[in-house]
Amino acid sequence: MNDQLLDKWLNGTLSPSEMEALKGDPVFIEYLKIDGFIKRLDVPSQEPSEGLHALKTTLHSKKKNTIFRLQPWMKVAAAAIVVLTVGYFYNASLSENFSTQLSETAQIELPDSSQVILNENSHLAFQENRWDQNRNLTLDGEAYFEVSKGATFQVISNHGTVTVLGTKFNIYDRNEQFKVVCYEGSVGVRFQQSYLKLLPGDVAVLKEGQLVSEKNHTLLPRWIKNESSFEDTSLSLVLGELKSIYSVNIITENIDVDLRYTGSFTNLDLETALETITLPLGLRYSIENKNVILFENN
Amino acid sequence: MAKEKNICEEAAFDHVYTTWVVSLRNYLFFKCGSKEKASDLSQEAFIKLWQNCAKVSPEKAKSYVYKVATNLFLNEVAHQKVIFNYRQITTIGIEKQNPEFLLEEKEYGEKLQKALSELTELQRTAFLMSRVEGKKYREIAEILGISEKAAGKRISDALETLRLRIKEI
Repeated sequence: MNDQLLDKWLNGTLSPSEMEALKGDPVFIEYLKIDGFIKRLDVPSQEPSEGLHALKTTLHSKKKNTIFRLQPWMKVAAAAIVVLTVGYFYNASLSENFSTQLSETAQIELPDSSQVILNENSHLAFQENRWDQNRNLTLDGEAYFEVSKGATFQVISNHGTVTVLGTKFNIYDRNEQFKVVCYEGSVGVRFQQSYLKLLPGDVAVLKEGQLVSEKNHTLLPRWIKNESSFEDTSLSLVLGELKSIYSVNIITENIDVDLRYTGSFTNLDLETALETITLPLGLRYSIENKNVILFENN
Repeated sequence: MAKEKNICEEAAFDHVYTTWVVSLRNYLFFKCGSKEKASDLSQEAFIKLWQNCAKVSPEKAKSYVYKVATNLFLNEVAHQKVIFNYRQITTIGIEKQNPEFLLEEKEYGEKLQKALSELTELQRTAFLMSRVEGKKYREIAEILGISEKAAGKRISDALETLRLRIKEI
């Protein structure tokens, strides 16, 4: 047996004339017979597309099983809550990515042991390898941060950049709304050319293209306790929040959506939430499938 | 920052999956002889890839899933006593053959199955990747983490072992 030719045959580089030469060897004829049989081996045949579909179903159910519970979190010296909206594709290109689905929260530990609680329907991204020099994060949705002391901690969003040294703060940046609340320490908020420094109890809000300062009196954002709270906010924005939390359509044709609302509604039960919103405003509601219809109480 | 394709992007992951899943599943099948196990372990390896997508670059994805799958195989299957069952060798075009020929084919197939299950796991894997999938030495060597020469040696040794063993059985 010519080992060199055999090698060529096994590696698929044998020429037809070399093949003729090998066929003169009875051992090679036996090899050919084995090879012919082996080629008929019945290998698993599932199509990749079917396998991929099955894989995604598995991943989806796994995700549901890993819903995190809120932990006692008051142990870290400084803390912050951040809500930001940033482009998905920018996030996807960063090295560490976390996502939550509707009605899901996740607790994440950052490399410097800062803690993040990611609220529902949110996406957080940061670069682990440069963390010690560069504590930059992007966040799409809403999250609570407990920031350990260290280098500047910076959160970038569509509307602005929030810089932290050691503090507790809340950022809300969804759709056209941008709001930062400082609970402890101090926070710098940059929007275009303007810059506001917030102390505890200060709020920075984007109004008509300007960053303006307001006051806040709560100790913690309500969503941590599964509530959404509003102060003198138009009903259309309140209903927008309700819509995103419960994934329902809201029909408001018969009512004035410019009514002002102050209060909180629960994120756990749709009917209770609707009652909390409609009662003070003198409205009624009915629920049909995934549609909520609001109308005047008369 | 370089806008490198990241397998955390669904389209990129899907591409990696559809490119390598068949090859990976066959590799596992050649190791353990069970279609079901091969399918389960390959899915598990890709789930691990998805969970670690940020840490694995697209060029490393293939070697990553092979490595994970091999470890899963070692943990879950290798220590169990697996009986290799290559009944799957089926004869084709049998209706045209005479009964003596059929009987001979059947006996030969059974001998080959037995001889295959007696090969070492690594010999069998290299041999079947070469003969069933038509993979080149280079790719087999890469998957098994050995030199091309060692891959070729394993394949030709397997072939010779099979030939001799079929005569004995």
